[in-house]
Amino acid sequence: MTIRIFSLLLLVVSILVVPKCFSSNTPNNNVELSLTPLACFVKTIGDVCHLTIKVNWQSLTPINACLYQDFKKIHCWSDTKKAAKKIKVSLSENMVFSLQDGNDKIYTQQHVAIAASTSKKYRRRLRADWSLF
Amino acid sequence: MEKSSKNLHLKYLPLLFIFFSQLTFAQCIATNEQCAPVDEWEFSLTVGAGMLTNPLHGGNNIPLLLIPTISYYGENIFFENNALGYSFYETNAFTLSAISLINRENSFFSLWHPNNVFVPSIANGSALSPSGDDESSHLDTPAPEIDVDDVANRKWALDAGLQGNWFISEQSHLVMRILHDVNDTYNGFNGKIEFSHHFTGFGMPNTQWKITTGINWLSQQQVDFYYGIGENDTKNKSHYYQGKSAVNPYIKIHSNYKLNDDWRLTFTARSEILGAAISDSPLVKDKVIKTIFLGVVYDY
Repeated sequence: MTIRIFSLLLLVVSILVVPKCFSSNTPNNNVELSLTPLACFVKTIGDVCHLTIKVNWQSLTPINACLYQDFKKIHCWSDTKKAAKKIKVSLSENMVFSLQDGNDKIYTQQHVAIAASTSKKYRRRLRADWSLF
Repeated sequence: MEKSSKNLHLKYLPLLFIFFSQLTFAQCIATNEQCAPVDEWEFSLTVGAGMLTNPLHGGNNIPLLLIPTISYYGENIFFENNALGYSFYETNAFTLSAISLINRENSFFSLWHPNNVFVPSIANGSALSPSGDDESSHLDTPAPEIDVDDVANRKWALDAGLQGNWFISEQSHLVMRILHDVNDTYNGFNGKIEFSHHFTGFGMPNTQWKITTGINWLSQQQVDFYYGIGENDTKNKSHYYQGKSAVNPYIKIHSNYKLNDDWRLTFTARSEILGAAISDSPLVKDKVIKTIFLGVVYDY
């Protein structure tokens, strides 16, 4: 009997909580985000790219929103339906820019890619000296 | 019980990877000398003077005059000197690779070992005398000892296993390696843990220093194969010796003084203390293996 009540409780909790969990990370289609450019060219992979990114977003209803570069908050708007801003950013790898509310809910996101103008890549040496050394 | 313990280790393995993957710092770039260009061969040739001592009775010290280095790093595969590997997990901070390389122990038994490619043609000339091999010391020493020339030839071994490289910071690096021979030689393991730290200092411009310290661990099978003495070696039972596992701590200092884009001056000094299970062998006369080298490097 106790197990049956527990299972029922678990089911109710699942129905109520799980969709909420998913929704917090699922981009909201009511908000549109546009970034330009969507790629940054560097000489070689690993170089830092400094660029001014044009941010445009709009929402059907006024919202409080912050733009994040990966996990770093870079600009916020409050009670706004539409915004446009130029922001200077630096990145050395492919990056996700997301528009979020104050509670980690992601409205929408965009990827900005890093591309190298030369194809040369580098990796860490693993230091296999001659066995005698 | 054993099974649950094993499962526990496996359970924490992904956590370990996540831990290492979070320790990120600057990515590899062209100006970082700790990084290699992908899909390019690199060669250098070092000319100088130096010596690697041979700890065996009757063993020739190994002269170091010409040291070629060669490396190739692909996306995953890498070849560096006498090692071939494949990195199957790689982040900025941690790399896990399958690796295969030539075991060094036979170098002391055979001058023309693949490890000793840097021994030039004069190496087997008359100028080289077995270090410390004077007759009087043999006569004065009551302990059983046996000359390397009086025992059966040892085979060279090819080892393979896993290597983890943890790039703790831009300056510090930890290498962990566990290997097993793959050509049915000693049928055992060996491993090492090595920490190295790069720095500039001592008021010397254009000079890079690297201090390395670590331990080499040799399984009982490996010690016994190379340093054990049995009936294959001699009929004199007083020389018989059964090897046990050994731990050899070592320390190394290495420096590079950049002369220009192609040439640099290099210096290496290394000291490795042999574990008792090796130094107790009748074959071994020195408890320490020393390396010293000074030369110039040309990077092609």
